[in-house]
Amino acid sequence: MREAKENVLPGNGHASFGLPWIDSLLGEPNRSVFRNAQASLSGSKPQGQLQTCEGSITFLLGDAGTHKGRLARRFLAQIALGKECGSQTTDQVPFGIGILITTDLMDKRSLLDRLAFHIAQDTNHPYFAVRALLEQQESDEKTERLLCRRLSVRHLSSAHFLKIVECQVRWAKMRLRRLISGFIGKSIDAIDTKFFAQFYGCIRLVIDDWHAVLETHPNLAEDPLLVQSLITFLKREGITALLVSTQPGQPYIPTSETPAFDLRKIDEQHIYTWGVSFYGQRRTAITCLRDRIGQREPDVFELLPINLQSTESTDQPWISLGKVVEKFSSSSFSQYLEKFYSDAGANWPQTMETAVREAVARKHSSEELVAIIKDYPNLRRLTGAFDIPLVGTRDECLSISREFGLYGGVEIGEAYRVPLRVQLVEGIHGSHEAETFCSSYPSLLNQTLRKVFPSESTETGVSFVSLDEYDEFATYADWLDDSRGKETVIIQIDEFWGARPGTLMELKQYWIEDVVAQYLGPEKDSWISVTQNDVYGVWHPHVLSNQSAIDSGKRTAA
Amino acid sequence: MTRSDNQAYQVIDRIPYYWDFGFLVADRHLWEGCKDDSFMGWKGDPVRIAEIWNALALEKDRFGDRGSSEKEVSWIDFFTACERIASRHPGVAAFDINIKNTESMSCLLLEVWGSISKSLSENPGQTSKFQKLNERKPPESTEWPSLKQLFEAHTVSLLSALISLLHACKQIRGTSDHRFEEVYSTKGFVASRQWYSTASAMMRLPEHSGKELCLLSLPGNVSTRGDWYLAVTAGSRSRLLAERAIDLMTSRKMNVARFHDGLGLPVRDVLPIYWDRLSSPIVRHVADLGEKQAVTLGEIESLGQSTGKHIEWLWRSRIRNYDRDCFYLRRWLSRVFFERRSWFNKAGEIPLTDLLAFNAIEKLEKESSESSTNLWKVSKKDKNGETVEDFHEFRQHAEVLYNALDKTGLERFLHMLDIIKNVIRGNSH
Repeated sequence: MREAKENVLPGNGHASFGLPWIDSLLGEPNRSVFRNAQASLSGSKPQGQLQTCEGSITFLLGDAGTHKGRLARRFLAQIALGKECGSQTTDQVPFGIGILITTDLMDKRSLLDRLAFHIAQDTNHPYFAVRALLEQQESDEKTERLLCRRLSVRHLSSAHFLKIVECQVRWAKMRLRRLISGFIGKSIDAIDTKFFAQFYGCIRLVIDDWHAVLETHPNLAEDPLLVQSLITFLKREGITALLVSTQPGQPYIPTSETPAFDLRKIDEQHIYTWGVSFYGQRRTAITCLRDRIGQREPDVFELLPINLQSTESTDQPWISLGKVVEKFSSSSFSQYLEKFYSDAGANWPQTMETAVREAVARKHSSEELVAIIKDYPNLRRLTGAFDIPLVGTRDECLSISREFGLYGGVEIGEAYRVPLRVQLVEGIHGSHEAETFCSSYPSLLNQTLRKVFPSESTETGVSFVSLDEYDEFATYADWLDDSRGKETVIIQIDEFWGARPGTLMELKQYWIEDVVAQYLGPEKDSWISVTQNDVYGVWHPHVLSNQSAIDSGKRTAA
Repeated sequence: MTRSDNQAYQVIDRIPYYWDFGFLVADRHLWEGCKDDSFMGWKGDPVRIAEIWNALALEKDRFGDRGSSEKEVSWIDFFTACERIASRHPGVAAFDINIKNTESMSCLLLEVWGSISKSLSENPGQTSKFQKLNERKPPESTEWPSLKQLFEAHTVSLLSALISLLHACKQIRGTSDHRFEEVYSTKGFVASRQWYSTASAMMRLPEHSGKELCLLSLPGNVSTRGDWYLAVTAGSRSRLLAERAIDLMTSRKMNVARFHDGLGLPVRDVLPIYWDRLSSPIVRHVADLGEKQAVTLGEIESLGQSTGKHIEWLWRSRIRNYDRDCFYLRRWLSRVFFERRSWFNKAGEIPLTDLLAFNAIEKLEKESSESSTNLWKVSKKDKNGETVEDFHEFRQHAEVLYNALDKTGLERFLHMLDIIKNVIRGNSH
């Protein structure tokens, strides 16, 4: 029998990807801060805080070509961002450990190449600097936090496979203990193992791709206990694991149609990615199921690969370096980079900076900039930016779009626009008497909504409830529950409408989000303070999340 | 309320759509003809009709002597003035209300009731429960009065409010199907209680086109808020669609469209500056220029809380379970209006303040002491700290009430009160 040395219980933590909406679907991880604990252990003033993190197991299942690999690497990148426990605090010490067990042709160097894109995306730091930082971190045994293990194509028994996983996890735990003990300032032996066990959720393990493993090693597929043994092992270790598998990714496939040992049948957190034929385009949908029973049908989002460098005018990394240098005087990045070079024992080449700045100011060609920068081999050696193959990594970054939220049937690959029904109280200005009262509002609203939110459904549009029918309308609305319909219904309610749970959708997030509908210009001075002008204390306008839409003034004009 | 206050709310499930509140529309021509008339107010002071007008009207609509705008006007004095003016113009209703919306009658009752309650000290040493209805922020659950508690705590003022309403709205009667109807057609009204939405619609009717209708603040110190919100049913398929649709429906453009159409007042700053100068569909006659002029948004707002006239908002959402009980209140009110004839004695047919001429306080005390109810009595502490029964605070007020009702009417009222309290208490949903 295996000895449960650290007494880790099956966790109920949650994976996080640093992607909005997806993380919120997965839920907030259970964690607590160990500022006081580590201070009492070390007896010295703490320099930061450690966060405990409960482990979890998540299956990422999806069709081929639905960005699962990128998603898995983004999952791993969270450890470098100090987000292994979910959200990041300012003084949190990042000490997560990442393990990738892969069947892909990927070594640690190419893994770092790709992780750097995700980190650069989240931190807004130049790619080359992030990449160099990772290089520096991983080249030193004291700071190394990533492990990439490629499964060879040779005979592999299930016992051997489990042993491989166990070895990687053991290595990660050893690394984690070393980092924590170094942080606390005590030797590993002097710290109780139960204390370490609380942090094992910060170890992130990715097995990519489970289906490929079984395909490559048929004997593993024939072992009915392999999956369960693996899950039991990972749970006992208390780490945060992500099993990626290429298989049909639509969320609602009857389990009777799936293989006997399919991961779908295991009751853990599931993330599904699948291709959607979307009005003539091929898109990737993503959704999460935390529990298979008792959960409301989750929202479906679109997973979009984005090119980190697409916003830059050139496909050459050194040109982006030039642009960074151009912005140096006002950017806090300069301090960051100077510290980086200082830590690396090198001086920031001021002459190079000046030369690049002048070249950019004179609008020199890319070749000239390249020539200038290449004169500084020290920089080149430190950053390693010029040696990174960009082929295949350009679309490494990911983002989430909510656009699929406007459509139903995405989960079965048959997208249709969700009908919008608006039920307003007619009062004395309803559609019947609109002509009498010269009221243009009902038709204006109806036409606007029909044009902006077209639908095949005949029930779309604005309808008016007369005052005589208002009591019946109130009764109808009062008896609504959260059973999901095929349409979206907006209703007009009076000032004294009771707040009963389950009848109306929670709009708090919509309500409290930053106000950008007040945007009038690029300068802060142009913003109107809504609160000060909110003379009735009733209006709190909403947000526009898309900055480009704001810049175009589209929403503002509406 | 600021955005940060919103953080305190546990649940936010509605977004403001438009807002509204109660005010008056009055025929300036009728009032001007009687502006120099005066009568004895319910507090015993002589009151000039012009004073009442100037205290309530917008600055541009006031009569020549504009110095008395800060005077507080009671509902009883206002009704009396309306009756005086109506008596000079046969066929004109003293006071009108939009009876299409039966909830408006409930709001009017709450406004009159709340105002009278605040001007009286029905429960010495205790704050009026109506005070809680002015708080925008949800009070603690224990402080949140229900309609039943209001009935119990402010019975005398409820009765006086009902008597006043029945007196003033003689043309309105309850129907057997629990609505309201006009007993006889009128040529117009001296004053009418309206919302912004109903007022703007009314102004567009052809029968009112030639009249010199003006907007007035409500008498008393309470005005009901008639806000409307947008909400999304919990079972809606797309949250994003709902959010975008609400974005559109609450845009500045739509707010302006609603305001211009007279649907409701804008819930956001529709213009960066001078938004208070937006023209509403409500117009006033400018006699000097012989033309019509639009009433602005700022003027309409000034009829409400921002005028410094001590008007407080009454949020019906602050009456516990009002959404549940309003149905019964509306029907009960209709019933009260239906049975009005069985309430009144002969005294009830004469103008309100004229009842003050009747010296009936001794009779009242006698009747009250014989009656099982202590409706008219108030427990007070005397100088020695002993509890004594005192009628003094309600002396004049009680005279009005007593003379309006005979004993049968009083019993009928108490019976009706029992009905509504039992209905509200017994109703579980």
